[in-house]
Amino acid sequence: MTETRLIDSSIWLDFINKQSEPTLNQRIQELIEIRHAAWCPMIRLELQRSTKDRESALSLLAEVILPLEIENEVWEMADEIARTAYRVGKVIPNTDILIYATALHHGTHVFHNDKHFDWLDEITDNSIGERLLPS
Amino acid sequence: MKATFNIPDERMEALLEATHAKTRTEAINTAIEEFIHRENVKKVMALAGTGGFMSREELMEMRELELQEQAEHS
Repeated sequence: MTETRLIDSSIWLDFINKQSEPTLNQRIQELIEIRHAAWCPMIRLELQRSTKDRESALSLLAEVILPLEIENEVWEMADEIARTAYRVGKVIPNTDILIYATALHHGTHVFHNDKHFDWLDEITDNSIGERLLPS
Repeated sequence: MKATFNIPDERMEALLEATHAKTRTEAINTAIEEFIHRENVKKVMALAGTGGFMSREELMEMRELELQEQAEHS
């Protein structure tokens, strides 16, 4: 497991939209300074869909964020996790499952603010989620 | 590209020591890369609070909608 954090869209949206989040801003700065911040195509797509005129902000992020690919093995892992979730009665969006599987495959943690990643840790018996703590 | 620069000897020595580079070319490239990275970090940090994106709550709604669609088709 590396120290790299796959930073979920839920974190980026709080970072960009909220005026004063010292804990969040400090964590983001730490991660990008030491080149341990990552994203994947699913997160980038969500962020692109989240704005109409801030494409330049995403280009800026791309300069400091490590891209993690979604290889075939990730899709297979996501499929397996989705089946497990269904079996245990947890309803989790495919988007979150895919992001989580990407992190698992690449040996990173997920930095997030979304309960579904807590559930994913529970049902897969992992602890790769890092939930944003309130300031 | 090849270029000629006038760099004081003591500054180059300090750079070689700081970067642990084996050659002057490697040291200069490392320093340039690090400088650009630091400037990019500053630009990214300046994005905090600038807005223009949907809120996290709206993202959650979007993800929940996906769930509803999944439920309708299962």
